[in-house]
Amino acid sequence: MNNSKATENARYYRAYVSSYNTNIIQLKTPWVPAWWSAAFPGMGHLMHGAYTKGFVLFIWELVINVNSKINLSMVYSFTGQFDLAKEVINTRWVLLYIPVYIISIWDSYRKTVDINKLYVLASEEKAPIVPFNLTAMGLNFLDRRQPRLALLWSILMPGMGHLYLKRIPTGFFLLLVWIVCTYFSNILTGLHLTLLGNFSEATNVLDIQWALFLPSLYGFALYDAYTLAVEYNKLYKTEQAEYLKREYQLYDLKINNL
Amino acid sequence: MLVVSSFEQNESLEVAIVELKNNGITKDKILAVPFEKRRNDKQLFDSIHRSDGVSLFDIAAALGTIFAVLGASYGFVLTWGPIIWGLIGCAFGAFLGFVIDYFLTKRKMKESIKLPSSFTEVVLIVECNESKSEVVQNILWSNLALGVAKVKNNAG
Repeated sequence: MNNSKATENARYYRAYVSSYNTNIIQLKTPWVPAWWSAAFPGMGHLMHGAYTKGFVLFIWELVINVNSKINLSMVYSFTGQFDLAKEVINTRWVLLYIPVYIISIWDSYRKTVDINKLYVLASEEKAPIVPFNLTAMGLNFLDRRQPRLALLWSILMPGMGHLYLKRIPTGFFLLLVWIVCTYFSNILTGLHLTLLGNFSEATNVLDIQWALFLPSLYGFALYDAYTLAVEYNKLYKTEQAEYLKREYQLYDLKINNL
Repeated sequence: MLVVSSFEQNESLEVAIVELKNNGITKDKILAVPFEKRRNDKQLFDSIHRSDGVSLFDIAAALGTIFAVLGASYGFVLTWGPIIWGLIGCAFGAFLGFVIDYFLTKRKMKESIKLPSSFTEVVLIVECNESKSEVVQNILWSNLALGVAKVKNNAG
């Protein structure tokens, strides 16, 4: 069954299973996507599978932040070196940052509120969920996955938990951004020197600007993979329960026979 | 004869049904009853058996990230450097968030009545002849049924 055909007469539907991705609408507390957008613009949109906005905002954040040196200035501000904080900020770029940053947070919040309403409508409409998709380029199917395993793979390498869940766009995008930020921040050299106990040298080799992207990337990869595994499990069970009720409730059980 | 069994929701259940049909059990002799609503027995961690979406990761992930950024920032002026302080910040933030979530969830859980939990999500009832009942039971057991029982009735 093709997903587009199965849902063409539906007004709202709950899931789209393609060979690249399982996209779903899900209930979320609005502050959660808003918070992730504050940590890294675009993340709140990626959580909802809104990839166009998500990817563009993500790349926007990298370009504008790196050029205006916002992360660097943040570190100087936190550590009380206010003169340096003022000095490093690039005034040619920095004012471009603020409006889009705020809109990405606001838009994540607003979008979540809307999606929560659509979730209620779609759950009521019960349009068919297509559990399986095999195309020339890949195979995807609904399944039960271990949330803890998704978390573990993400801990080992951000994006891998998403690949386990067949969330391919998020998975490979996070992997790419992680590699870029790891490379430019020089964190692995820093880690090496830290493990050898050479703390001052480890601090010196780090690129502050790029290193500050890493915590939010890591946190998001873990959190999103875990919650998606939970949501996909729910979707699997919903689809199967509907199938069983449709196909295997023809039997007329007469208890008084017993 | 009725063969009653209980299952978790997974692919094995569907395989079991297909095997039953291959062994001559027709569709109108199979009744699958997925439970509408299970008891509201929220657990602190989700697993493959149970994913209620109540987890201790919302605030932990958010605070872990915040404190990792702060820790890494201060790390640049502290002795151990940004990596160790970033990790300490992350662990501290995640722990703090975990504790906050734990108590919030505990409070919610107290409000719902605690009942023993079970993995059963579907009850599968099959009507068949006495002679087929062994085959049916074997199919159910070999496809990860949680429990199987025979009930004799007049029809069998």
